[in-house]
Amino acid sequence: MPRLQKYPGLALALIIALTGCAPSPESLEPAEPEVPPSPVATQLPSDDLFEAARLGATRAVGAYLERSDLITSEGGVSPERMATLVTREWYPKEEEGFARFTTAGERTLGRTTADSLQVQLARKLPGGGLDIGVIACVDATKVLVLGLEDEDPPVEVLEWQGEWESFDGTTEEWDVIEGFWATTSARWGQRDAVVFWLLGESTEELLVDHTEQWWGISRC
Amino acid sequence: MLASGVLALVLSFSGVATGASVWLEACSQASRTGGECVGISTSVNAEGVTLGATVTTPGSSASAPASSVFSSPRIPRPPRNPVLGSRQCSIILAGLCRGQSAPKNPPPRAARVQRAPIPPTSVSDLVAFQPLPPGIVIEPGSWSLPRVSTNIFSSASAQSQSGTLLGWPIEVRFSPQSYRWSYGDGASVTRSEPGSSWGQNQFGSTSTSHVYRAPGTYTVTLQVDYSVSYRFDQGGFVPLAGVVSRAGPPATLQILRVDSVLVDEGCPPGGLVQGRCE
Repeated sequence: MPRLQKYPGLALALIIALTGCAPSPESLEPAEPEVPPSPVATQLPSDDLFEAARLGATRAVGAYLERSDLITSEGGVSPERMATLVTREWYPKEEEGFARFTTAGERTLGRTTADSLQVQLARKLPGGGLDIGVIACVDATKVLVLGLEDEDPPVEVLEWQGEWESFDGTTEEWDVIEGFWATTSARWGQRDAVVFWLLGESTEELLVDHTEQWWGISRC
Repeated sequence: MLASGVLALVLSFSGVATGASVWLEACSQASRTGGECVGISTSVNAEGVTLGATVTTPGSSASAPASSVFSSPRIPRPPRNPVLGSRQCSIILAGLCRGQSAPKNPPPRAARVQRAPIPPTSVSDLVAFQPLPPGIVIEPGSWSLPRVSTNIFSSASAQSQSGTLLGWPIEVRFSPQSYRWSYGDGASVTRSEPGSSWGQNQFGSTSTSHVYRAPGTYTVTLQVDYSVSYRFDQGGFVPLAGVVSRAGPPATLQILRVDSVLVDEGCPPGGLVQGRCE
């Protein structure tokens, strides 16, 4: 008590205060522990967390789409390459999706992209780690699904799809495009609003835990 | 404002549809690219349930063989003709959908219309279901007596209805949850059981019997609240929040007047006329 010895008045006041707080002999029941109310603001995700979640989710979703494209471009073989980017619980769904490519004998050509990503939920889990929910526009309209043995389409076909509304082809280009579609069973991917749920120890190592198509209002 | 609205909807999902919401199928990106994700929207109101589905089919060649499409039973076949008028196909030039704006340099290809590729197209379908009206059964019949138990129960039971959504089977199951009775004499009650016939215990009290106090003509009405669940393409049943209410046709009940008649040895069969033994 070296500091209190310098302030005898304060020590006395403290003793009185502590005595006043002591339970009386009649009230030996353990009192309910009083938990001071936490300020509400500390329970809400901070802007920093949301921003970190957005960056982490953008990375995780981008890596997920890139890996999915890679596997489907090879006909859905070796789906285990996706295992490091998704949770163990979600992985069977991925296998299921790739298996259909294998069964149908199809592959993809092109790159799936994500844009307009919005963080909808970012929270720290009680046991540690993060739970993040985002909605993003996933665009596979420049991804062509075609037979595994089919040759890649002419470049004119890819340009036409990429500039769907404004492609201004020459007669020769239209000949090539129509010639391709007359003989192929290929089809384009689509643009969807997609919900991603991500889990991870930090925003640097988020794994896809669930995805589903979003059918509500979206920016897509 | 939009973001918070979307958040609320996201958080409402738990695999079980709410009163008017959407049931979503988990779907990997590979499945989405393959074009096999289907979402089912549900809407439950007091009168019935409406199920809807939208599937976005990727574009394909008009000459593509059907076998080239994924063979999953959940995938409706893509339309085989360009959908003129859709967002992606407001105009067809040279047999190709060209979107909203006409090209600056349209090639003259009128003869090739039949070979047009198909743009990505959304196809929607809706199907509505309504439970059958519940029936009212009165014992002893369309008449009864005052100050004794009149047994009134419902013949409503769980029912299943089938339909198709986007060409694939969908089944809706209605299960009675509560029976709202109005006896026409000012009394009403809500029961959880439909009740049953009184069997040999005529005019005995049952769990659904009602006692009328005075002679007269009464109209009995019944409204049954059904819980709803559905399944798509032989999958598991998905329960929906909310109930569908359906009223049955009202039943008219005559409560007769009872007069005490003092007789000597009883009336012969058919001898009681207007309260007198003749």
